[in-house]
Amino acid sequence: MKHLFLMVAFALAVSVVFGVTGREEPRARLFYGLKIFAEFIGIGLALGWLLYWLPL
Amino acid sequence: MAQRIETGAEKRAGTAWLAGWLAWVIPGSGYLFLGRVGRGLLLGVVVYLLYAIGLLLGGHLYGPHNVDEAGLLAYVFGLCDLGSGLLYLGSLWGGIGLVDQASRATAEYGNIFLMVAGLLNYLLALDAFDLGVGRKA
Repeated sequence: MKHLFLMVAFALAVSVVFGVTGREEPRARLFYGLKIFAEFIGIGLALGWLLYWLPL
Repeated sequence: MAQRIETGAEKRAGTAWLAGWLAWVIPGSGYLFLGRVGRGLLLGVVVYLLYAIGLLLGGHLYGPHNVDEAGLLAYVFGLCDLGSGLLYLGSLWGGIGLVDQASRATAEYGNIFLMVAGLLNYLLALDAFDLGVGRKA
């Protein structure tokens, strides 16, 4: 659970910075930040499950 | 003797360079210097939080002091950490976050948080420069 929380905290921090610096309009910033946040979480979970099945 | 008159563009460039350097040295301060208080506080707090969480998780700072342990990567990772400006230099000076706590489960997370805090602050320094020079509104 701690690992998931850290991933979410990391994604949130990075998406805030990218959202604010990457777009100029407030609405575009919000959507860009949300998009990056969703990508971080989605790809993180997908890779987590992929690694779970790999015999490493 | 000819007197050189500073143009508006030169003044703006000077302000932009100062904002960029300030933003690197003290995260968030470049925006405050440009009068962008909200942006400076929000983005500065993000960098400080990432840095603090990194240390709390048991992360450690890289640099010339641990080349023996990490090899040449210590310079690469150290350059990432250096992005946090005075936070990094102050930690080195104060002996904070210098010990590798590899036995802690979250130590690697901590290292990444510390490095990303530095990398994001490099980005913020460039952003402050762009704002200062007028490339961004």
